[in-house]
Parts: sequence; structure tokens; C-alpha cells
Amino acid sequence: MNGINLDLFQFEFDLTWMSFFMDAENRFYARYGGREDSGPESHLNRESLTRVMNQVLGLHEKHQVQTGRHEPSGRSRRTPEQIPPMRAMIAKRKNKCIHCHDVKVATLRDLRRGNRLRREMVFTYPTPANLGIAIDPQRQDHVEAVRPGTPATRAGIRRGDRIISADGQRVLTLADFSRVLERTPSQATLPLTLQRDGQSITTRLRLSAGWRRTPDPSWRESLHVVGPGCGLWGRRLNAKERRRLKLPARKLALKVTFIWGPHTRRAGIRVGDVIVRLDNVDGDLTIKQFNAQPMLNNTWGDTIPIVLRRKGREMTVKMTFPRQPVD
Amino acid sequence: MSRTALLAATMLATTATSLLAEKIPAQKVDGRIDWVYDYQRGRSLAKQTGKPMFVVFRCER
Repeated sequence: MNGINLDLFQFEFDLTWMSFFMDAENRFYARYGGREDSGPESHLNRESLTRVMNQVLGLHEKHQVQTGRHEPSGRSRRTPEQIPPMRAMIAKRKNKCIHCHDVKVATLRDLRRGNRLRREMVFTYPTPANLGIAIDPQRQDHVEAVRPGTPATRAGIRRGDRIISADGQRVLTLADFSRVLERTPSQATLPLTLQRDGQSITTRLRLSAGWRRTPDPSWRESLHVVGPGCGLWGRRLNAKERRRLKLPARKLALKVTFIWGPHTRRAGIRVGDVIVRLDNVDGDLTIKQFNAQPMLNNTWGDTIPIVLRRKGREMTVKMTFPRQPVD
Repeated sequence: MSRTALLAATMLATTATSLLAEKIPAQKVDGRIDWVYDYQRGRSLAKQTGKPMFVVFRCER
């Protein structure tokens, strides 16, 4: 990302892959990329990429670029190097490469230093799933399913609907829709134009506070900026190990494999310990989900209990997070 | 050539490295697509050829 114009190329920087279809004048036809919590390639596949490529070639023939208020002008220029914490971040590296997630990490750290950071700022580029719309991974302008009791249900959206535009912006892909949602306020009414049985339908999604949050943001590399971490790494026990320790299948069972946090060592946690409860959470978690828990729910300086098994004994330790972030 | 590769070749396939790419070498990609590893060069080629661009960001962690 070194030297990239961030006023032109705006996307979810926690991703590992993102693409844009553009003309030579820095204008966009479509975006392709993005992901759901479920996996990094939830909506990356050959069929949908080929489909949008064909659509873009058709739009290019007619010079039909995206227009409207959600499109960056690219007239101003702002690079990752200009984000104040970035210099210190890359100074420590032998290879001075700025990764995509570094942009978001530096941005969030800058907000934190200025006391302007709010935890929900980590939930950038929400997807239609947040509104109850499951997008067809192969035909990304089609609704595959609608979750009951969501803004999508209340707006009357149905399986099979084709999404034509969101807030006046053409939608060909998940990433196109996500672009509009990124720029939609937490409380808003979002107009959608759909096609159903050959007819054009307009509806409105009514959004209230909290819609941007997703259930499992543990994949977000930038999450560590918004809250404290446990300072350890580990792995889930397999079925055989669980049976040996008499730990039920759907309960937390993480074996500690690496510790880097001084606060983790002060709590008395050791490599080899099996963690079975973190504060009031004892459901099965991956190590990323485990580490995400305090980042989302605690603040620096908090003390939480952790229950662990060591050499056949169960014990409770208390972990006190550092009083301030350690960058 | 696969259909997707053919379509990408119909566009200009470029990765969005900057002028600083001279200092940080581009990590080239194997395969059948002829990538342009500099955005401004890709843009110039798009102007010359009249093709749209397929601009890809990929991040190794």
C-alpha cells in the first residue's frame, strides 16, 4: 500500500484481497471482493468474477461508470505514509512494506490518540448480511435468502430478487453493496431498487443503531486496536484430547501454546494450560474468537477471571489488562 | 486459456503499486495473466488501448 492514494482506493483494509474495475480516468465500474465473517473467500469464486467481468465490459462499451455521492473523486491525494502513526509502525520493519491492514490499524490508532476512537469503528464495510440479506455468491446482485425478523424482511425483500441499486448506486457485487453500506449512517433509511418477475420495485430498509456490528469479527486484523488482548496464542483441543480431560464437545477448551503478554504471565498462565472459561464465557471458541472477546467487551485496566486446567487440577486466575494500549 | 484469464486479458490487469514500487519490489504472480505491476503505467496503457482496468490489491500477512 506504499504511496497508494487512499482518497481513490477505499476499501475494507482488514481484507487480504480486493479488486476494482475502472476506466483510465480513475472512475469505477464495479468493485469485487469483500467477505462475510464465515470465511475470507465467502464470495470469491470464478463464476461470480467472470460474471462481473462480462458485465463490466458491457458497461465500458457504453461508458457507464459509477456516479453519485458514494464514489470517490480521487481529486485529492492522501497516502498511508501520511497517517501519523504509520511512520513509527514501519520504522521497526526491515521490509518497509505497508500492508492493507496497516492502513486501518494506523487510522484507528490515530483516532485513539485523539480520544476519538469508538469500538464500533472497527466494523467497517458491512455486508448485506447485516441487514438480513444473503447474497448469492455466484450471482452477487441476487438475493439468495432473507433472514426473518431483519430490516430486509420488514422491507419486503424476497429470495430471488435482483438488486439493481442501493441508495442510487448500481450494485453488481457484494463489494458494491458493501461500499454503499460503509457510507450509510448508523440510523438511516436506505432505498433499494429491485427487479422481481420483470418488474422494478423500490423499497426502503430502515436501519437503527447497531446494525453495522457482526457476530464474529475475530478475522479483523485491526481488532486489537480497540480493546485489550489476552496476550497468548493457543489451539482448540481435538476430540480425543477433550475425552481424555473429560471436557464436553461444545465447551471452551484452548491449550496455551505461546505467551507474549507480561500481564498474561503475571496472571500465572503457563504454556500447556487448558483454558476452559474466560470471564463469563465457556462456549467453544477458536483462538481468534477467544482473543477477540476482551477486545470487544473489556477495556484497558479491567480484571477478569480465567479458569484453566493444569496437570489434572482446575484453577481460577485473575488477568488484569494493561492500563493503556501497548503499540 | 481459462475464461476468466481471457476476460482479464481483455481488460488491463494491474496491481496498484505506486511509484515507490521502485524501492519495494513488486511480488510477482505466476500464471497466465500478464499483470502490470504499476498503477500509473496501467492507467497509461488503458488510455492508449481503450481497455478498462482490473485493479487488484492483495495482502500477504
